[in-house]
Amino acid sequence: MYAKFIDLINSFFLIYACALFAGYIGIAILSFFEMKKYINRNRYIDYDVLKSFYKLPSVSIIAPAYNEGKTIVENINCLLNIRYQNFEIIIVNDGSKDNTLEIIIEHFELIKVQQACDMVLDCMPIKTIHKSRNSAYNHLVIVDKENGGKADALNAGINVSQKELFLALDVDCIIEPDAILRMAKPFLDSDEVVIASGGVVRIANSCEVKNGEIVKIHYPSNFWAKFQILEYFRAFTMGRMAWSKLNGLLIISGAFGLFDKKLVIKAGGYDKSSVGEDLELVVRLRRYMHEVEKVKYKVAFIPDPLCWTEVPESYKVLSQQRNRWARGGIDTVLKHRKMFLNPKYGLIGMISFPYWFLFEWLAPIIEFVGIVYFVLITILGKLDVTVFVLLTIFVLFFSVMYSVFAIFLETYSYDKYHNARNRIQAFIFIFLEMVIYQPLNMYFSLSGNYDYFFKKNKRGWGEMTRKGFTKKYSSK
Amino acid sequence: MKTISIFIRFLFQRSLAFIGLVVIVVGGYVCKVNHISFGLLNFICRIFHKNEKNAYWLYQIEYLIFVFIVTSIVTIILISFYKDHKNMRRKIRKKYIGLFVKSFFSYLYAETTLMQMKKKEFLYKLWKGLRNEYAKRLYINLLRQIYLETEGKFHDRIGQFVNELEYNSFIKAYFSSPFLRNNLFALKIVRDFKIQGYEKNIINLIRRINLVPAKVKLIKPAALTTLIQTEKYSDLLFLVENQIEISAWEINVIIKSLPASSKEKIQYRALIASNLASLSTLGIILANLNGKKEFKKDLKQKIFYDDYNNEEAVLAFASFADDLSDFEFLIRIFKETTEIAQVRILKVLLKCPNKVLATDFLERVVKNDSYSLKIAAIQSLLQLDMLIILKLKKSDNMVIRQACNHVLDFNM
Repeated sequence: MYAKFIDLINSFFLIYACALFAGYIGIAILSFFEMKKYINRNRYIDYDVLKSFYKLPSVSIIAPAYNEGKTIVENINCLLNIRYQNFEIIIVNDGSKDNTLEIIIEHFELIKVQQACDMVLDCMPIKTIHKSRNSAYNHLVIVDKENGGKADALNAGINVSQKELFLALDVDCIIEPDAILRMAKPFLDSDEVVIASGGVVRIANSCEVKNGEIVKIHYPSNFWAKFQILEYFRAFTMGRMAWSKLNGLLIISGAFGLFDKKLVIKAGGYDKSSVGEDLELVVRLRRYMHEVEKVKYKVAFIPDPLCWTEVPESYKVLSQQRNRWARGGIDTVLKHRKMFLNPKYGLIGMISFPYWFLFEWLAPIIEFVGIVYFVLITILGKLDVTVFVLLTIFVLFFSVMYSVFAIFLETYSYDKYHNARNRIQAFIFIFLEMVIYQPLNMYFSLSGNYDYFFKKNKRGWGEMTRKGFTKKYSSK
Repeated sequence: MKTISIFIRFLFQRSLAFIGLVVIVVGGYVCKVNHISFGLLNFICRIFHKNEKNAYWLYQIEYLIFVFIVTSIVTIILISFYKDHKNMRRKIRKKYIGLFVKSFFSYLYAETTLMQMKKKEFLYKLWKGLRNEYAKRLYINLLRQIYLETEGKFHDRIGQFVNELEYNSFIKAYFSSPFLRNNLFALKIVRDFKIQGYEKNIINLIRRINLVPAKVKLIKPAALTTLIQTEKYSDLLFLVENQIEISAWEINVIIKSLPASSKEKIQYRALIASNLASLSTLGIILANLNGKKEFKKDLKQKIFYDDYNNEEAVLAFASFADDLSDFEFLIRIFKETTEIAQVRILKVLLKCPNKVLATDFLERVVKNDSYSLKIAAIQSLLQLDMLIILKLKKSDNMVIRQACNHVLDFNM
C-alpha cells in the first residue's frame, strides 16, 4: 500500500514534468518558425509608408502616472517623438502625492480645458483636463483625477480618448518612434478582427538615453537585472511568439499594448479589482469575443523590440513585483475559471487557459511540494540516488539548452547586445539563475499565493522605485 | 539552370533540419547509452550502469541529457557563427559597394563619349563576370538606388544602361523562385526601372502565391503596386477580371502608388459594382478622392444594399452632396450608418441649402445622440446658428452643457 502510494506520487511528478518540458519544447520550435517567418516578411516593409496611408486607425496613447515627478518630463518628451499620423497622448495623473502635475503644467505650458468626456467606463472622478497652449504639444492631453490605481487611471484615459485604438503604456517606458506604426499594421492587414496587438518589452537598465530615445544599448550591470534579461528573452522572444503563432496569447504586457477601444468598452474596460489588469483584460476580451461577438479574431504580437522599461534592481522591489504578478494571475484564473477546458472557448479554453493554470500558477506550488517530498523521502531513507541525480542533471541541461536557445533567437532576430562579453555574461547567468533566481522566483510566487488566499491586501501594488534615465546617465 | 539552383538551395536548408530531427529521434531508439564511452556520458554511465536493474526509461533520460548537451553546444556555436557570418557579410558588402560605386560614378561622370563607352563596357563586363548571386543583387540594387535618387542626365544614363543589361534570365528566375526575398527583389526592379514585359510573370506570381497564404501579405501589395505602374493595368480592371481579393493594407498601398495619370483611366463603375467587397471599397474610395460625382447613383445603391461598404459609400456620397435631395437622403439614412459616417454627415450639413432643415436636425442630434455626435453637431451649429448654441448652453441636461463648453472652449 505504502509503496503504491509512493509510486503514485512519483508518477504524478514525472507526468507533470514531462508535460511541462514538452510544452517548453513546443514553445521553442513554434517560436523559432514564427520568428523566422516574421523576419523574412518584415525586413522588406518600409513602415514609414503607413504614415501617408489613406485609412490608418487613429490612436490614443494612455499613460497613467503616479508620483513620477522625477522623470515625467523626460517620459512625455519620449512620447512626443512618436511617428504617426493621427494620435493623441493622454497622461493620466492618478492623484499623485508629489508635484507630477505641477511639473507637467509648467514645462508643457498647460491650461485647463473643458473637454467633454463620455464616462462609459467606471473610474474615480476626473478633476481637470489640461491641454497645451504651445502648438508643438497639441497632441498632449493631461487628465488629473483622484487616485484609483492603474486600471482606474486607464479607464479614465479611455473615457477621455477620442481615437479608435488606444495604447496602454507605462509612462516610464521608452518606446521606439515607429512603435505604433508597427503595432497598427495587424489592424490593417489581418483577415480576422484584431482585438489587440502586443509588442516585445526590453530591459532599459544601464542603457543610455538621450532626448527620450535609447541611444546606446548596454547589457544591465545590476545583478538582479541580469537574471531578468534572460527571463525577458524567454518570455517575449519565445513564449509569447509561440502563443501568438497559435493565436492563444493570453497576456499583452501592461507596459505596452494596443487595443481596439470599442471592443474594450463593450467588454467593460479594465478590472479595477485586479492587480493583473493586463492579463485579466485580454482574457476577458477573448471571452467576450467567444460569448458575444462570435467572429474570428486574433491577438497580434509584434516581436520587434519596441518598448524599453526599467526592471527592479533590488530584492525588495523584485519580490513585490513577482508577488503582484502571482496574485494577478490567480485572480484572473479564478475569475474566468468557466473557460477552463471548455471547448466553447476553442483553443483558449482547451490549451492556453489550462496551460496558464497548470504551468504558470501551479508550477511553483508543485515545485515546492516536490522539495518537501524530496526531504521527506530522504529522511525516510526511500530516496533512489541514481534517479535523483539523473533527473537533476536532466533538468539542469534542459534549462541550459532552453536559455541558450533563447539567446540564439535574440541574436538571430534583433541582436541588440552586440558585445561578446555580454553573451559570456548571459551564459554564466544561465547557471547562476538555476541556483539563485529560480528558487527565489518560486518563493515570490508562493508568497503571492499566500497573500492572495490568506491576507486581506489582495490589491496591494508595492513600490517601484525609478532611477530615471537621463539623471542616471548624464554624468557619463 | 538558375531556377534549379535556387530550388536546390531552398530544399537544402529544409532537408538539413529534417535529417537533424530524424537523427535525434532514431538515436533515442538505437543508442545504447551505456556503450558510449566519452566525456560526461561516460562518467554518468560509470555511476549509473553498475546497477543493470535500472528502469529502461533511465537510459532514455541519459540519452536526452546527451541531446541537450549537444544541442546547447551546437546552439552556442551557431550564435558565434551567425555573428561572424554577419560581420563577414558586412565586409564583403562594403568591398563590393566600394567597387560598384566607383565604377558607376566613373561611368556617370565620364566627360567624352569615348570615355563613356569604355566605362560602360567595363560595367557590362563587371556584371557578366559576377558569379556570386549576392553581388549581382547588390549591383542591380545600387543601380536602382542611383536611378531613383538622380534626375536628368544621370538618371537617363542609368536607365539606358539597365535596358542594355542582360538581366532577363536573372529576373525571370527570381520571379519563379520559392524564396520570398527573390520575388520581392524582382518586383522592386521591374517597378522602379519601369521595365515592361513582365506583366504575365507578375500575374502568375499573384496566382501562385494565392495558394500559399503565408506569402500573400507581403508579395501581393508589392506585385499590385508594380502592375498598376504600367500603362496597361493602371485602370485597375485586371483586379475585377481576375477576381483579386485585396486587404485594407493593399487598398492603402494601391491608393498611394497609383500614378496621377491614371485618375481618368480607372474603371470606377466596374470596381464599385464588383461582387468582391474589397474591390468595391477601393472603387468607392478612389471615386471619393478623385471627386467623381457622376457615381452618386452607384453610391446610393451601395448605401442601401452593401453593409460592408456602407460607411465608405456614405463618406463618399456626403462629399458629393450638393442639392437638397442629397442632404434629405443623408438625414434619412443617418441612423443606419456608422459613427464615423454620422460625424461626416453632421459636418457636411453646413453646405445644406435649407438651413432650417439642417439646424433642426443638428439640434435633434444634440438632444438625443451620443457624446461624440453631440460635439460634431454643436461644431456645425456653431457656424450655422450661434443662438441655438447659446440656448443649448443653458440646457438642463448636463451632458449637453458640457458638450457646448467643449466646443466653445477656445483652447480645445
